[in-house]
Amino acid sequence: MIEIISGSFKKPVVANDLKQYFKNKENLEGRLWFGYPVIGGIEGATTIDALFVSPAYGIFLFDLIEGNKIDDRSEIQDQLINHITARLLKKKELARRGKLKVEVNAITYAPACRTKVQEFEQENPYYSYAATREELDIFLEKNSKDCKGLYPLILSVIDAITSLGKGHKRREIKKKDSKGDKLRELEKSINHLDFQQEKAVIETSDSVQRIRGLAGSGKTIVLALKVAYLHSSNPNWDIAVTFKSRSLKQQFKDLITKFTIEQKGEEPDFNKISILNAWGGVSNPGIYYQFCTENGVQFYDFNSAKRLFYKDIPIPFDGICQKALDETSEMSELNTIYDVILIDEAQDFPDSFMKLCFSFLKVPKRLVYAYDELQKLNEESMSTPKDLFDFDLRNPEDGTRQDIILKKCYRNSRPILVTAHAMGFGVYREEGLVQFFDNPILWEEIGYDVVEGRLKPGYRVKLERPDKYSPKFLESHSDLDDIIQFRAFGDKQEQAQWIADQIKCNLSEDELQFGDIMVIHPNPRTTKSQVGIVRKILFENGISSHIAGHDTPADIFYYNRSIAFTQIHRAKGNEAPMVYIMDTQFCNNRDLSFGKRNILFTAISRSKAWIRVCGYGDAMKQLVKEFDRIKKNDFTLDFTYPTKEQMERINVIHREKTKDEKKKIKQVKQSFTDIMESIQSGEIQREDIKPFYMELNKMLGIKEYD
Amino acid sequence: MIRNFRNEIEQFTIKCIEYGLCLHQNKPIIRNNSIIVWAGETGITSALKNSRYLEKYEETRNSQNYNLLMADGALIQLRYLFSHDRRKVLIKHSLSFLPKPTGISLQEIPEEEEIEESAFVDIIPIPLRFDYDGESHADMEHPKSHLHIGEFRNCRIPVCSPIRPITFFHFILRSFYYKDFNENFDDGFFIRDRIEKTITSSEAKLLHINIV
Repeated sequence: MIEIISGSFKKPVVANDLKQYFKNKENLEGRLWFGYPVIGGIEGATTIDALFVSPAYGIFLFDLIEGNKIDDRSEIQDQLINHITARLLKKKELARRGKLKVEVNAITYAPACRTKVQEFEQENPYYSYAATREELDIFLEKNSKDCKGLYPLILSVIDAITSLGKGHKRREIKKKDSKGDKLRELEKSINHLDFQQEKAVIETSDSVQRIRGLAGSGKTIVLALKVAYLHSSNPNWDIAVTFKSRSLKQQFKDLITKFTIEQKGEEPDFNKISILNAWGGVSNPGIYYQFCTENGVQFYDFNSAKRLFYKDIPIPFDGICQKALDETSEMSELNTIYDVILIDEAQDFPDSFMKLCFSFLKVPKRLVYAYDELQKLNEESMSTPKDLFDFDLRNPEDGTRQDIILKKCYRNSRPILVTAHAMGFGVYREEGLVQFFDNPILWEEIGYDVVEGRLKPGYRVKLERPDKYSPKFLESHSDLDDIIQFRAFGDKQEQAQWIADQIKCNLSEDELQFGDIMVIHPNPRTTKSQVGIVRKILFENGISSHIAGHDTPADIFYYNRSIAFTQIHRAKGNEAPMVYIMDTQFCNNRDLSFGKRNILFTAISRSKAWIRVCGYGDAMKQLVKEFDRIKKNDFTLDFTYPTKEQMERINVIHREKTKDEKKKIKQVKQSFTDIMESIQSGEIQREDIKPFYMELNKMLGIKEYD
Repeated sequence: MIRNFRNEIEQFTIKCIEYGLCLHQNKPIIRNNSIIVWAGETGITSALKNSRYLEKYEETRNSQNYNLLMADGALIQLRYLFSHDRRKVLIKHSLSFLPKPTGISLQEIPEEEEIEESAFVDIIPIPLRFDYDGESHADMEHPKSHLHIGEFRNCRIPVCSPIRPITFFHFILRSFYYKDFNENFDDGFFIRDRIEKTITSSEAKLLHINIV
C-alpha cells in the first residue's frame, strides 16, 4: 500500500493520472508526495510535482506536464535531481565517497505529448520521459534499488526534520546502561513523520482543518512544519500561529526557522510569519490585540477585562473576545490580515476566540487548529466545527483531509501513557470512574485497540495500546519498575529527603544532566512554599534549583546547572526524561472534581522516559493502590463500560464547580453540620424535622430506615 | 567577620528557598579571601552603569548576576570587599535591591490560579542600593555609608554605619515582603551586634538612617 500525501499542486489532471497509476500497485510499499517538498531556487522556491520513495525501488522524482505542450526538460530534471541529492548528501549515512548510496531518479511524465516524448528520448537518452504507464513501469524497474535499511533515514530528510535531532546536549557517558547512556540511545532514534503527521503538515484545505491528538503526538512539530511548508510554497501569504502556553513562542520560532532553512535553504521571512500570543498588549503583539487595533474596537488588558467581567463570565478572555465580535458584527467590511491562522492548544481557548480568528481571516478562510484530545475529556466540551463555524469537516477519499487524528504518541511510552489515562479517568479507582468520554469512538481515536469485550454501556471491555501507536523503543530501554514508580511516604519531610537523594543520584551515578530532570507540584497555590523543603535539602547538598519563572516573556524554563521545579500549569508544554511529581495526594482529595485528575494526567504525561509519582498520607496510599491495579493488569485498561445512568452521575458529582457553586455547597454543608449538631445536643428532636428528612431521602434515593 | 557575613547570606538564602520566596539563587562565595560575591558573577553590572534601568534589570536577570531572584521578579545583590591583611577590615560594600520594572509585566493572561494581589495594584518599582566606601568619602557630600534611591545621581542618604547582610535582608523583607515576613520570620532572627558607626556628626544632623 502506498501512502499518498497531496500538498499544493497545480497540475491536477496529470497528477491524478499518476496517483491512479500508483494506487493500482497494491503490493508496492512506499510514500508518494504531490507538491512536496519545496526546493529553493534562484528564482524563488518551487515545489516538486511528485516524489515517490519506496524501500524496494528507491527514489523517483516526477516532473509533470499538464496539457500537450512540452519543451526540453533536461535542465529542469537536472535542477530537481541536484536539489534533492544535495539534501540527501547532508546525511553521511546516505553517502559513500561523495555519492549517494541510493541515487535519485527523475522522469518527465507527459501523457498528452506522446510524439514529443519519443523525440526527446531519442535526442537525449540521458534524460527520461514517459507518456504511458507502461513506460513508467519500465523506468521504475530499470532503476530500482533496494534501500530498506536506509528508508527511515531517507524519509527523515524528506520530512525536513533532521534538524530536530541536533541541538541535543553532548552527554559524557562513562557507565554503560546508566540512565544517561539509555537517553543517548533514545535521542539517536531516527525522526521521521508518520503518515498521519505528514498529511497534517502537507495537506491544507481552503477552509477549516482540525488536527487532534494526544499530548506528545507531535502536534506542535506538525504545526511548525506546516507553517514552514506553507510559507515556503506561498511566500506571499500572511501566516499567523498562536497558542496559550508562553513556552511555545520560542519553540515555534526555533522550529519554524530550522524547518524553513532545511526546506528552502534560507531563513523564513518573519514579516510574513507572525508568532503571536492569543491576547497580546501594547508591548507584546497578540491576535486579539491586533484584531482590536485593526478594527477600531476597544482593547482590554487582563486587569480591565477582569474588572469588566468578574461576576458574569468565568473567563475574562471569553468575555472580551465576544465583545469584540459583537462590536464588529455590524461592520460590513472587517480588516482581515491573514491568509491562514494556525491555533495550537485550541482546547484552552474559548469558542469566542476561535470565532474571532475565523473572522480575522481573508477569504478563503483557512483556519487550522490543533488540540489535545484529552485535556477536555468530553467531546462536547470542545465545540465542534459545526458549532463554531457552521462547517462540517470532510475527509474525501481522494482529497485533503480536514479532520486528522494523530494517534501515535512519541513522547510517552505505553506504560506511562496508559497509567496517565487510567489515573485521569479513575479506571482503577476504588470508588469508581471519575470522568469518562461521552463517545466510545474516542478510545480508538486516541490509539487504543479493543482486545476483549465491547465498548458498550454495561459491558466489560479491555483496551490495549498496540505497538503501532506506542512505539516499543520508548519503553524497551528500562524495566517497567524503573519506568514508573508510585510512592507513598510518611510525611512531607520523608518525601523531600527521598526526592533530593534521588536527584543527587540522578546527577552522579545515573549520569543525567540538570536539564533532564523536572519536579512538578500539582497545586499552584502552594507550589512555592511546598517545594522549598526539597530545594533546601538540594541547596545544602550543593545542588542549585529554581522555580520555573512565569512572569516575563523571556521565559526560561531551564536554568544552567539548576534543577527545574514547577507548578503544573507552567509544566504544560514542557517535557523531561526524568519527572518527579510531589504532593500527589492533592490529586486524590475526597472533594473530587475531575480537574485534579486532569492535573495528574498532565503531570504524568510530561515524562519522556522515567517518572516518580510521590506523595504522603492516606490519600497517597490510595493512589498507590490504584496504580498497583494498573500494573497487575499489565498496563491495559480492563473495566466495565459505565451505563448511561452511571455516566450521568459521574458528570454531576465530578463536574467543575464555579466559585458561586462552591460557595453554595459550602453554605449547605454548614447548614447540615448545624442541624446535626443541634440534634446531637438535643436542641432538636428527630421528630421536629422528620418530614424534611423523609423528603430528602426520597430526593437522594437513600433507603429509609423507618 | 568575612566568614560570618558570608554565612549570614547563605543562611538567609536557605530560608528564602525553604519558604518559597525566591525562584532562583546563587551561592555566596568568598573570592581571593577578601571578596564576598555571588557564584558566577560577571562584570556586567559595571558595564551597564549608564544604561537605562530596564536594560540593566533584563541583562542582570538574564545573566543570572544576583544572589536571589525573588518570586516577584526582584533581584538582590550583595557585594563586600575586605582588606587582604589579617585584620580583614571592611573596605566597601554594595547591597542592591532591583525590583522588576514595569514594561515587562503581565499583559497576558496570567496562568490560572497564579494571580497575586500585586497584579491589581499600581506599584512603581524603585531600585535601592546601600553603598559603603571606607576610603573615599567626603563629609556631607559623600558619606561613608549611604543609600541610593532610584537612579538619581546625587541621592546619597547618609546611613549610620556599614550594613551587615542580615540587617539588609531584614530591611528588604519588612519593607517589600511584609506578608511573607510575617508568615515565616520574626524580628529576633535578624538582630545582631551593631557595627561601629561611621557617620560624621554633621551628617548625623541631616535626615539620615540610623540603627540604635
